[in-house]
Amino acid sequence: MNVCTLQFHNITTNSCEEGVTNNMKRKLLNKILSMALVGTMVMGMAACGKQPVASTEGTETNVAGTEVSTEVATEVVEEELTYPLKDAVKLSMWTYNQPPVSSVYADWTESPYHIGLQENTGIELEWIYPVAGANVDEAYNLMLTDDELPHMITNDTSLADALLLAKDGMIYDLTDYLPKYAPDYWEYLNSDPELLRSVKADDGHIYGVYGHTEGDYNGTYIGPVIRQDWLEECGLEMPVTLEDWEKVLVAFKEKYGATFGFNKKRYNMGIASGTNAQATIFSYAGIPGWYVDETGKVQFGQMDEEWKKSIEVLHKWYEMGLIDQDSFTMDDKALRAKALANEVGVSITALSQLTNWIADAEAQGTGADWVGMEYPRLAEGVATSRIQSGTRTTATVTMVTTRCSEEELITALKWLNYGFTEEGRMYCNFGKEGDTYYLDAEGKPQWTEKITSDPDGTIVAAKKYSGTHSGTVATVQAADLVKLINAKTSADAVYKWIDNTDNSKYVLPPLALTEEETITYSDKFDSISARCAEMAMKYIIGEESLDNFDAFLEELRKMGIEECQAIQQAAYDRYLAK
Amino acid sequence: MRKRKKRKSIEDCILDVIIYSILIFLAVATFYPMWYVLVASFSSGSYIASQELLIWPGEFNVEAYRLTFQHPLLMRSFGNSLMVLAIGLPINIVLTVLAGYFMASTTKVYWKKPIIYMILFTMFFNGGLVPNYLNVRDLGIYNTIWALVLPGALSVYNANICKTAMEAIPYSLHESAYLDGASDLKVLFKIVLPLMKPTMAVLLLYYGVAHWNAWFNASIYIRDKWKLPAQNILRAVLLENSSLAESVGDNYNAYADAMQYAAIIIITVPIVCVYPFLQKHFAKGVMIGAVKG
Amino acid sequence: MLSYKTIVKDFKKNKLIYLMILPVVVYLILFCYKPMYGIIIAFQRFRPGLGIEGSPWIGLDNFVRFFKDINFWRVVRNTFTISFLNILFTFPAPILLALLLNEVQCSWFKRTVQTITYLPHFIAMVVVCGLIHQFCQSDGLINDIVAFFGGERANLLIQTKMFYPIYIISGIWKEIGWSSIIYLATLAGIDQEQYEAAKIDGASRLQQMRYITFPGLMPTISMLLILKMGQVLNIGMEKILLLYTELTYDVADVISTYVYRKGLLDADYSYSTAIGLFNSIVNIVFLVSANKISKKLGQSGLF
Repeated sequence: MNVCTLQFHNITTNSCEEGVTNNMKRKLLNKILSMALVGTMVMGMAACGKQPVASTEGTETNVAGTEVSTEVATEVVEEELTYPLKDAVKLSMWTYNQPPVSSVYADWTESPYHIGLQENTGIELEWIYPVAGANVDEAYNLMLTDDELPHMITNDTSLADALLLAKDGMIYDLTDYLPKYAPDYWEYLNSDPELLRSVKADDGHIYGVYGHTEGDYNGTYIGPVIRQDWLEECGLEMPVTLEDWEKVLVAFKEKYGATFGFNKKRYNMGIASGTNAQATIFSYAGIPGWYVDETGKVQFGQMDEEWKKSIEVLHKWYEMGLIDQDSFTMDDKALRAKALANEVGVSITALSQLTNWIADAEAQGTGADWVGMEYPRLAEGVATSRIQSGTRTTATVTMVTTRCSEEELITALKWLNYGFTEEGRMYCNFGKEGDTYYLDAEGKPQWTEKITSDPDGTIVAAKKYSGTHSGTVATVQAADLVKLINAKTSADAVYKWIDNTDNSKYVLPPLALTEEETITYSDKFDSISARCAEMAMKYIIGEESLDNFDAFLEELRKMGIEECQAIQQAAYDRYLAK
Repeated sequence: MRKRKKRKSIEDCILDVIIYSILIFLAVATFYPMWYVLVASFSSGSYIASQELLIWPGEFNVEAYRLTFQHPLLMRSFGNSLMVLAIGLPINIVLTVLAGYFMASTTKVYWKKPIIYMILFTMFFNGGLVPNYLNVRDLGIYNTIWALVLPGALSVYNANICKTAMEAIPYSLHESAYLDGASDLKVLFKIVLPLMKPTMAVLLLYYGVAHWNAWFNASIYIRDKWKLPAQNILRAVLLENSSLAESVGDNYNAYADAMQYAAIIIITVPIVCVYPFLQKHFAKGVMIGAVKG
Repeated sequence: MLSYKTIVKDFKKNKLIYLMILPVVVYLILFCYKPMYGIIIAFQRFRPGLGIEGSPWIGLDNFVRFFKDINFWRVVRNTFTISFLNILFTFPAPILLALLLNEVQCSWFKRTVQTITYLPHFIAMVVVCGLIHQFCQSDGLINDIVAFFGGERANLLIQTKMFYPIYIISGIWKEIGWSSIIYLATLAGIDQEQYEAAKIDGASRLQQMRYITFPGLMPTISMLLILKMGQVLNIGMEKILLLYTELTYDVADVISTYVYRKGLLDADYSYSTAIGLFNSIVNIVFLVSANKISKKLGQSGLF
């Protein structure tokens, strides 16, 4: 359940890092340029009718919609894709994201970003969001059982689950349509073989248009933060190893009565799903959930000795009173209040929250100086093995449901393509040129007055006029956005979190499971995941003794962890072979 | 009240002291949390945070109320809750009275037993969470106010109360009416209902409180936030990390805490106020219902 | 007996009364009996896209899975535990209150206490649980009081040992006054002459309570108790859903909350329905037994 929130934030909070080095800037520019170039080429080719029509083998699968593909092929060839579109089709979109800036707008109809999107694409789209306070998983599940599906669904549905939905005839197989109706997206996918195989389900088909990011910087948005001013007052160095951390925590506790506090939902006790590695404080070793080890074997972090050790340390700190007890029940709102009230000195939190805390401290004049810091290391010189991170293909996917007629399907794809055109990419990330952003001398986007002097603060202002942080439309989240919307200190925090780690070695790519595998896996793994989350917390607060850890492992085996592992391994092997 | 000897024995005095102390403790312990909410709703955020025990409003202000009354979603949800009452209560009462009358009626009806069993069986067995949800979806009332009103519109327990109250009415009254040629409908309206005002008060109160305080059905049957009843908005605010204060920007807000309490007061006070009006009938009515004859 | 003629005659004769019960019957069919058809998904692997008609049948697999589920004993045990704690503590509390109030002479005091204790009944569960959340945090009201008396601050919601006290005490707080109404009404019906006679015999007030007041309440108590016993497996999920955390699942997770989590959060519709069906069946067994006992004891019973 927690995973959802996290993935939403993935796109939400980090948008892009502004290339700090020239190298990075160049890369970005090149990328945009080449995208544009390739985009035009593709369109040209499509217009000439030379674009190879994607495999027609797809028709064999009994997925709704595939049969349609062949007949459509000819007519659209002449159509050139220009926005705003002329299609007189109204569409609806369910999305698992939170509604745009609910603090300012009653609903999306008032949001300038959504209004602008409608103008730019020419498509009238009704957005459907989970209601306030609803559990997102629950809302998604209930929505799926509704007789009348929305035209499009945006969710963090795994490749395996998407395959299942398609088999049940609920969503379209897009494989054959993408080259024709979403040429820019198709081109983007083909720009990197890694991208293409990360969006393919087990049968080699593509069932959705994914949200993408420009790279590692966008994927990491949760990490440790600390009160720099207190560190200095105590005469302590920035902590690096676990021992350092403990020293700092003890000092903060003694001097300020402040603790290490976090929001359990951020510091995921459960297990990562899909591509999204979850935040773990003890990243020096214990990786919760699936990862791939040095020998190419898929491993389950909770079964490792290292995970047990990391939990042991947390338990020790808890016993010493260094961890805030409310960490297990409070939300971001409460944590923010504690940070402001000087009750928390070290935390692990999201980028946007860090920006909020900095703003609070400024507004209230508390003198608190929050900065990001490295994840703790096992020892000096040993790189952190795993941090919260994401891949270029995020878990957020927009699927087109079979409620769509063929015409609507085509319009939906053309609409989805918009976020991958040059214009659309800039709009989704930064809003309107000249209005919310301008390109500086180096061709880098910068906010205009309109954003920077917005009374609600930059994050909120940016959310009003641009979209990738609400994950609203399939696009490529620009690396520049994170830095632009966050306070400088928090934008810098990301470097502290991702630099000098071995993270990429261990990340598991998005895996595609077969239908049978999916059913077996979800039957068993839902319970396993819940169990792990529960036990981790019990161990930390001492409700359950780590002496009985072996019993826990035995329990996991009984629940079928080994079968799940075999499924993951098989899927990983297939991925490598793709 | 019992009459007592004028002079109390020492034993009696001690007993009185004990009884009164217990009751005073109970009353204070029950009252304080409610008082706390009331006081907090009139205080500033920093005052709430700084006080160990809130006894009296500090930095008294009505800013939280002003902001809360301006909150569009909360106010809309308040209206939705009223709507559920307005539509739901008549349906509840009609179904309950009809079911009660049928069960209480002495007329020889061939299908009487099967129908009564059919009614009672629903008390012990129901489809369960998912089948009920699928049913609401199939009936096409998903995401409408009917999804909040219709499922559970007839409480068999309440129908039983109704039936018991009707049985307590002397049959001779029915009989003379029947002899005068009155139909069952007429008997129900002209003779039975006027005699069971206390029971009606009990039913209204039971159904009314249940409607007003319900949240679970709305959480699964409603997907449009503008159609949610008030309790669901309160739940989002109190338990799910939403903030009312967001409507005044994402920045630090001094009234965020007080607004939560103000919202509680605004939404709870109406239902509390209903009770005194029905109280007169209530003690009588509840007795009929609970101790079945 | 059951001839076509009798039926037609019966309908003709009782046209109006059938017409009057018709809305109820239609309602019950639509909202109570129609969903029961949906229970068959307990024997399927239901997939929303395929519907009840298209989903594959898997027989009793879901039930077997439940009995093997590591959470099986936990949810069953917790369901019974919470029920019995309710009977042990929440049930007698209003009886005690009624007995105490009955001894109070001063009528304004009595009225005040009554009114105050009624009030929480009207406060929504959402609000009650929201307040519990706030009060039980380590910087919440309860901890403020504990700290005031020199105690150690602790978050109460994450401790398994605190869950039952929180659950029970808040339950008593909410309903004690309301539930006492019926006992007070019963007490008002006790013949005053009994007390007079007892006083003449020199019975103390405690003795009067013991031998007159309490026996006077007994029929009501036993009736309500039997009703309660029949509901042993019917733990309302709403309060627990709003109160528990993963850390207190060990004591707080009951069948109905598990049904909710599996059904709506994990989208394991069939499994969830199977668990719900199991619960309903066991529940009926309890109800029927309670009813039998009730009749044996000379009460009227539920049905």
